[in-house]
Amino acid sequence: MATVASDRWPLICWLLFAAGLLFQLFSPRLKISNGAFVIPPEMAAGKNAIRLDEIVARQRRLQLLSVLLTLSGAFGLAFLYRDTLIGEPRDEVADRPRNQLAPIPREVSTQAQREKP
Amino acid sequence: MKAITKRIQKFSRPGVILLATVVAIITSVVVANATQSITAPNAAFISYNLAPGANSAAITPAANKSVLVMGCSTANDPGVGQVSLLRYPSTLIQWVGLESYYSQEPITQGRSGIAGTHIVYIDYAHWVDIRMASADTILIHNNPVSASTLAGNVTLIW
Repeated sequence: MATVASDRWPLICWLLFAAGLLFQLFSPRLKISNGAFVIPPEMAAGKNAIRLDEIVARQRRLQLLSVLLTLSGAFGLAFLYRDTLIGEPRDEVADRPRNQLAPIPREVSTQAQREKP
Repeated sequence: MKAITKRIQKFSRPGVILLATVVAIITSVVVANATQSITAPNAAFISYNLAPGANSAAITPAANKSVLVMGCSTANDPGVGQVSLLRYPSTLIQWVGLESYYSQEPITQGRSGIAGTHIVYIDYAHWVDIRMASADTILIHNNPVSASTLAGNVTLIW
């Protein structure tokens, strides 16, 4: 049961990462220039009233949601595949016969022994 | 899922590093975009290009906050003006500021909830002004007598 649950984590992480990307790609995004949100000319020339504070607040909410999803997905993936990323997979080590495991190196003193006079 | 995990683990090491790099780059781009949006000040930049007699879309300033509105006309008729305003929701807008250059009375001030009330001129010839569009909104207007299309921009900071 625990294996089934742990098997779902990679899928969940990929889904979180993809959801963050989708939010980033498909949310309406205002260009920022010289520290100000630039309202598109077609919006400024339109008939509907422009609610600046709501537009800016919505963009910030969506960007925050997007970054939280993407970061949690990316960190989750990095954690799940840490063995593959930084070394050999744990399964391979576990599957290897005992007699093939590398012997534990003995501690070797690197300090030169003083010669007796 | 186990199969996918195994397959990823059996990728060649350069392949895994490449995939991880792609994920890291995409994540960095998302973080950079979000940081820019979240840390940008509450300011909006609106460009206008108005034929004689035309209006921009109505703009709703933030409610119950002081909002600095500064605007300029850049082509043909350059000028600049500014006001600080306060919007009482559904009631009126109150403002005080400076008309564009060459005004007999450089200070502009008032409070109104009536559409069409002048707020501030933002060009030299006093053809382009910011005025009330309703009790909650303002707009940019080019006077019909200007006889030319005038362009510029307005920045709101709140």
